[in-house]
Amino acid sequence: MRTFVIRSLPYVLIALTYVAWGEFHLWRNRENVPIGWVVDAQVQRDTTLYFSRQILGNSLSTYKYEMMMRVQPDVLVLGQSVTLQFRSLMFEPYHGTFYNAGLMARNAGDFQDVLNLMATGQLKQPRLLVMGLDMTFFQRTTFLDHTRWVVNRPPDRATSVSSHLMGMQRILRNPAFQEAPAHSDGFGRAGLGGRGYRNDGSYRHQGEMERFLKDSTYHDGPLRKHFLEQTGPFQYPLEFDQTKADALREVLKRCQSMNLPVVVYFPPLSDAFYELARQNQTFAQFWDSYLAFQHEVALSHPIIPFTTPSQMGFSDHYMVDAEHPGEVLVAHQWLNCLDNYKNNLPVLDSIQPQSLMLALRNPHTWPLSLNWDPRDQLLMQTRATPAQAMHK
Amino acid sequence: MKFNSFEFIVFLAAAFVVLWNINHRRKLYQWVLLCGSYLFYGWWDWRFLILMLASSLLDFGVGLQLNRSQHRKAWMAVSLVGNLGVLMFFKYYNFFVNSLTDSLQALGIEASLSTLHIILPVGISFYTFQTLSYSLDVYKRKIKPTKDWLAFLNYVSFFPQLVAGPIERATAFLPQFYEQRTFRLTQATDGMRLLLYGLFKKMVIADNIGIRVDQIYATSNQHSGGTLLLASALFFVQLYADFSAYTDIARGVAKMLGYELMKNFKSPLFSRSIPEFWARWHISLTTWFRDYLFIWLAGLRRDSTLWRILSTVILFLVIGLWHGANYTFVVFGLVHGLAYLPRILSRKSKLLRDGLQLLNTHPVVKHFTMLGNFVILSFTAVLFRSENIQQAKLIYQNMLTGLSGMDAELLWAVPYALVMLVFEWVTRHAEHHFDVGHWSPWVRRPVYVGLILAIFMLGYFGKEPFYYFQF
Repeated sequence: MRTFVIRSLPYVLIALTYVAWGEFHLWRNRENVPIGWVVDAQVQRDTTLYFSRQILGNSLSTYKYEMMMRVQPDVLVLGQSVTLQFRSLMFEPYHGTFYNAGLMARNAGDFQDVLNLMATGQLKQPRLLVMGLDMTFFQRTTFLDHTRWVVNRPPDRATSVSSHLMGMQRILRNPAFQEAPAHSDGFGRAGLGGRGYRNDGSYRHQGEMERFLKDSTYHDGPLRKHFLEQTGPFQYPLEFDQTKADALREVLKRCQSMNLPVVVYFPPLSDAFYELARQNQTFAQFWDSYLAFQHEVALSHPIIPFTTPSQMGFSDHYMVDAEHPGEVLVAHQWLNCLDNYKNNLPVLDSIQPQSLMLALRNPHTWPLSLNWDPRDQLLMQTRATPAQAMHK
Repeated sequence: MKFNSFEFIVFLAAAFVVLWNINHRRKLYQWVLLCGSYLFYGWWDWRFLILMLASSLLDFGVGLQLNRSQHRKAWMAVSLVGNLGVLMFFKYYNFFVNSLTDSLQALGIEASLSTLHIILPVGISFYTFQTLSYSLDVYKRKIKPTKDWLAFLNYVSFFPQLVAGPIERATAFLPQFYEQRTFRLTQATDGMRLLLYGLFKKMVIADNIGIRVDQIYATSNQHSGGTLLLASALFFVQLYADFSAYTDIARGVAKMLGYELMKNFKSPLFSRSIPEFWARWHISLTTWFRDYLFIWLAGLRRDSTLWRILSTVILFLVIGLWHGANYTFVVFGLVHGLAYLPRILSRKSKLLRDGLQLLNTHPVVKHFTMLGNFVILSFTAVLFRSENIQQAKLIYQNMLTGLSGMDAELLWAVPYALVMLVFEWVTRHAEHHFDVGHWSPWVRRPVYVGLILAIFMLGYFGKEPFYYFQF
C-alpha cells in the first residue's frame, strides 16, 4: 500500500499546486472572504468598503439578508436593482441605521417573508420602509418568482469547494483576474475596483461612471436590445398579472395593519427608452395597467411616482442606463417625496437630509454621482471638463 | 454523496486508509465498511437507510427460509412482493394512479384518485434488483444462502456500486465479502486509473455536453431540426459518458478496496444493431432481466416465433419502465423491443439472415451500419430525454421540418464528444478503455497529468448529478 501511496503522491501534488495557485488569486482579489466576515467589516468600519465578487459570485440574497439582520435598520429599502441608489445620506438622522436591501426581496412572496421576520421579532420593525415596485413585480412571465429569495438563500460561495474550483477556471480563462487589484480596501475583484455594494447596501456603478466621464453620453444598456428582441424582462407574453398585483395589495395591506409606514417607489425609465417602448401596443397596455396600479396605491400610501428624467427637468444623463436611475435623480425624487408627504407621515417630517443638500449644492456633483464617495472624487480628478458642463 | 464531490474524495481517502489498516480483523473490517456505506448513502437522506436496511433484512431472512422451509414458493413470493411492492410504491404509484384516472376519464368516468408526494429514494431500482437476485438465486438453488448477515448487508450496500450499479449477483459478488481482502498494487493502480478516467468522462465530457443539451431541451420549441438532431445525438453520447463514468468510478473504487465488479459496458456506441447495443449497454441490468424474466417468459412457448416476439417486446417494455414511470419510457421500450424483429425473424429466413450478416460483417458496409445504428439510437434517445410524450412528439415534428440553422453554443459540445469517441474507438478492444498499464511510463504519466489538469481546468463543478441516479 505504501508503494501505491508514494506513486500517487506526485499526482496529488500537481493537483494541490493548481489549487494553491487558484487560492492565491482568490485571496489576492478578496474573493474568498466569507459573507460573515464581510458583514462584520462593513458594519464595524466607518470607511466605505465595496463588496462585489466578480469571480466567485455574490450569493446576493444571503449577503443582503445577513447585513439587514445585523443592521436591524430604522429605514429599510426593498426592491430590485432599480432601488439601489437610495443611500444613507438621504435619510439623516437615520443614516446610521439605514439599510438598502435592494435585490434581496424580488417578488411579493419575498416581501411577505420580510414582514414575517418583523412579525416574529427577528427583524426590528423599521420606522420606514421604501418599497420599490418596478414592472417585473407585475409580469406574468418572469423567473424572479420561481423561488423565495429571502427564505431559500443560496449558500455562501466563498465557503463552497466547488465554487472555488469554478472560480479558478474563470481566473485561468481571464488573464485580467490574474493581475493584482489596484486597491486593497473592499471585498471581491469588483469590490476592490470600486464597483459593488457599499456598507449601507447601495450600489456604486463604477464602470458606467467611468464611461460617462469619458464620453458624457447617455447609454441605454441592454434594455433596448431586450425590448426589441423580446428577451430578458420583455419575454412575451408581456402581460400585467392581476394575481401578482393582488399579492402586492395584500403586502401593502399587511404593512398598514402592522403600522409600518411605507413609501412605494415606482422607478423611472429613460426618456429615450420610454418613447420607444410606448410605441409598442403590448407595452403600452401593460404600462397603462402599471400606472393604474400606481394611481390606486397613491390613494393610501405616499409614493414616488413613475417619471422620466425630462418630466423632472433633467436629461437621460441622469440615468445609469434605460432602467437604472443615477443617485442624483433618485435624490431629487426623494426630496420631492419628502416635500409632498412630510405632513402626512411624521417619519418623513423627521428626516432632515443635510448632507444630501450639501452634496447637491456642491459644484462638483455630476449627473451620475453625488460625489460623496472618495472613489468618485478620485474619478473626477481624472476628468478635464468641469462638472457643471455635464449638467445638461 | 456524489462521486464528483469534494466530500467523496475525502471520504474515499479515509475509507482507503482505514480499511486497508484493519483488513486482517474481519469483523471490524465488515462493520467499518458497512458504516461507511451507510454513511455514503445516508448523506442524501438518512431516512432512505431504513428502506435499504429493511430490504436487505427481508432477503437475508427469506434466503434462510428458502433453505429450510417446505413453503419455498410462498417465501419467494414474500421477497417478490416485498421488494417489488416497495419499488412500485415509491417509483410507480403516482404514474399508475394518473394513468388510471386518464383511462377512466377517456371512458367518460369521472375519477379523482389522489396522488402522493413521495421522494424517490436514490438508487432504489439498483439495490432492490441486487437483493432480489439473491433470493431468486437461492430459490433456483444456484447458491446456498448465507448465514453471515454482515457480509450480506455489505453485499447490498457496498458504496461504490450502491446508487447506480453495476447490479451485482450474489454468486459472484457475495463471496468477496467472506474473504480477507489482500492489497495488490496492480489492482489498486488499475482502480485509480478507472477512477481518474471516470471522473474525466463525467466532469469534462458528460457535463460539458449536458449543460448545452439541457439548454436546447429547455427551449426545444425554439430550435431548428438540425439543432435538435445534433442535441439528441449529443445527449446519447452524454448519457453514455455519464453512466459509463459512474461504472468506471464504481469499478475503480472497488478495485482500490480490493473488490472486483462486473463490466457494465462494452463500447455500446459502436454497436451495429439495437440487439447488439443492448448486449453492450448496462449489461448488469439486461442480463438480470434476461435471466430472471425473459428466459422464463420465452420458455413458456418455446417454439412459437410470435411468442418470442411478444416476449421480447414485453421484456423491453419492462426495461423501459424500469428507467422511469413515464410514457416516454414505455414507447422507448416498445420501439427497442420491435427492433429485435429482424433478428428473431432471421431464424426462419435465410435471406434475412444473409442480409443481416452483410450489414454486420462486410468490411465497408459494417461501418455504415454502425453509423446508421448510432443515428437510430440518437433518434430514440429523444424519448429518453423528453419530459413527457408531448415534448418528444414536438421535438420529432421539429426535427423533420427544416434542418437549417444550428445553435452555435451547442457546437461547442461537439469537440468534447469527439475526443471521447475517438479515444474509445482506438481502445475498444482493451480490457477497459483506460487500461494503459502497458503503455510506456513516459507516455502514461503525462496522460495522467493531462487528465488531472483537464478535470480541474475544464471540468464542470456545478451540481450536475449522474443521470442514472434518477432511476
